[in-house]
Amino acid sequence: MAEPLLALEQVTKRFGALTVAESIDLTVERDEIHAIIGPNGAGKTTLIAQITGVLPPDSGRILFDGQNITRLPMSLRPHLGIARSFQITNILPDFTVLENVAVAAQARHGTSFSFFRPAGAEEGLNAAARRVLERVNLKDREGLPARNLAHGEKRALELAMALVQDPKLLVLDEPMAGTGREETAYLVDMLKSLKGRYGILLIEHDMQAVFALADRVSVMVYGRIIATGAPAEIRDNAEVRQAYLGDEELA
Amino acid sequence: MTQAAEAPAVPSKPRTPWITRSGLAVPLILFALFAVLPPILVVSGETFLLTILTRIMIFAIAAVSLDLILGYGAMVSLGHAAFIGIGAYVVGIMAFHGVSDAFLQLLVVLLATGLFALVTGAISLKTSGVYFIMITLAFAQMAYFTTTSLAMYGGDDGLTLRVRSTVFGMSFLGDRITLYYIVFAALLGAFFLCRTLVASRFGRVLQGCRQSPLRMRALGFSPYRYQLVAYVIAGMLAGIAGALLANQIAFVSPAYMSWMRSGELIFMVVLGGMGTLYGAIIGAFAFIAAEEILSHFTHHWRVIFGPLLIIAVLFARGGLISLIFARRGSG
Repeated sequence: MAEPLLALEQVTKRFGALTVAESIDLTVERDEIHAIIGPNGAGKTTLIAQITGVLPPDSGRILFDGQNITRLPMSLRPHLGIARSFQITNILPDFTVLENVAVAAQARHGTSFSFFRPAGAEEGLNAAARRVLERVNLKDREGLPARNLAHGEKRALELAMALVQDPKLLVLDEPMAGTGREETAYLVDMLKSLKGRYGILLIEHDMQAVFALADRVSVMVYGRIIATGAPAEIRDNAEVRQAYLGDEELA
Repeated sequence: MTQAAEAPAVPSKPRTPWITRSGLAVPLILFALFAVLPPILVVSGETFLLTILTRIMIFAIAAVSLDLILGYGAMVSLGHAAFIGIGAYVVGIMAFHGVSDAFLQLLVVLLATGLFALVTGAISLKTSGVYFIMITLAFAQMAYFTTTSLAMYGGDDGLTLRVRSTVFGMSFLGDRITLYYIVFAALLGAFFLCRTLVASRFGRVLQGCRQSPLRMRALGFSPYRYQLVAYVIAGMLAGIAGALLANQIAFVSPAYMSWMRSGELIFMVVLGGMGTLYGAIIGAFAFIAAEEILSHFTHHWRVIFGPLLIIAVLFARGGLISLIFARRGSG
């Protein structure tokens, strides 16, 4: 059996007396969507912070593609093939939509210590950016300042910035947060189209979206993963129901 | 009307012309003015204005370089005048020892300011926000007090330039008009260099780091390295401004690098309009012109100057250039 794309081994993180990650073991395979659900404050975003390098774990190991990345600086991880989106939309508001994606492409193609050639005229970067914008249906928005996009479009733009880097692993922190029903459907479709091509770690509150997308679901409560399994198993798990889902929601 | 129609003119519904898209309209008008003013001023006998304009352009070079890191990199340096001072002192000290060759001086100016920027920037950029402001201020004050203690070179009193810089052994920087055009050329060079830089891959990363350092790190960039390079380039450009200032006044003094000077530079950039480069030129012009005009009328000109600056900032958010564009928009 091939090694998993991402593996967390006994990862533990504390903020003072508060344990936000307690001996977490977690894997993401190369072609699966692994969703993490859990109530607010369960430590999901902190877990993502450790995977993407924003925070170091106190103990335990994080392996990516067999390489120990536990303490690798954040800015080096995209070069291994880890791309992420943020819980709170994080784009470059003054740049155009195209520039946002082109600067993401620039990170993976050639040096950025290039001082004299206009970056906006680099057809290689622009073409790569346009291909991805087409995939996320933002092609006709490319000239707009990113700040002027609708909320759901901004979420799609973040996804485009991740995709253009040609990652192996996508770490998506609540991509549906704050989106309306139509936008959610649009994002779910988009993620479905990505399924199988990337390993995806998905944190999401929208249960319908999670059960529609995920191959495996882990439930996180108070810094611990209390259950991992196929969506159907998780749905039927009594402990999970009690801890998180609430009985009436599934009735 | 028929004549106008015959002209190779503007179509009735013009596409955005190149000049507007490139954002060069205002700076090119500015530079054209700077280019044609000297003969007019000489003919009309107003050569004193020539001196003021030269001074404006020298500070415009420093302000443009500050805009590179402030407007595009969000690095609020309260120590930028240190580079002007170092540039000026290099020229002063080399001339003191009989080395007046402009190219040699320029080389040493670039090395000295580049090294100072590299060392202080490498430390300062480990911090951010208010701490960055304070630490750049502290480094500039260190440079200031170092020069006041250089007894051999006049200490507190400053140092009179023995000879102005020479080119191939010839001295012509004493001539106001020659100096004017050399400063003008330096300003053009600084402006177009910075403009090229901000449009490059490097400039794009720098601007990205201004908007969201976290996002840029998540994309795989380490903001520190890009910010440090920008800081060094800006420092060297300000050093050139200092070398020109020494030649204009034929005198160097610790006052060039006082923290008030650094504050004035920030003010010029903010007054003109941050993140445009030419806003910094307009800011330098407005600031020094207002200073000159007011000091004509009264010794207590600062009492008027201060409130004027506050009003300018309050009513021209986005700088004086926003006034130009607002008028164009409504007209």
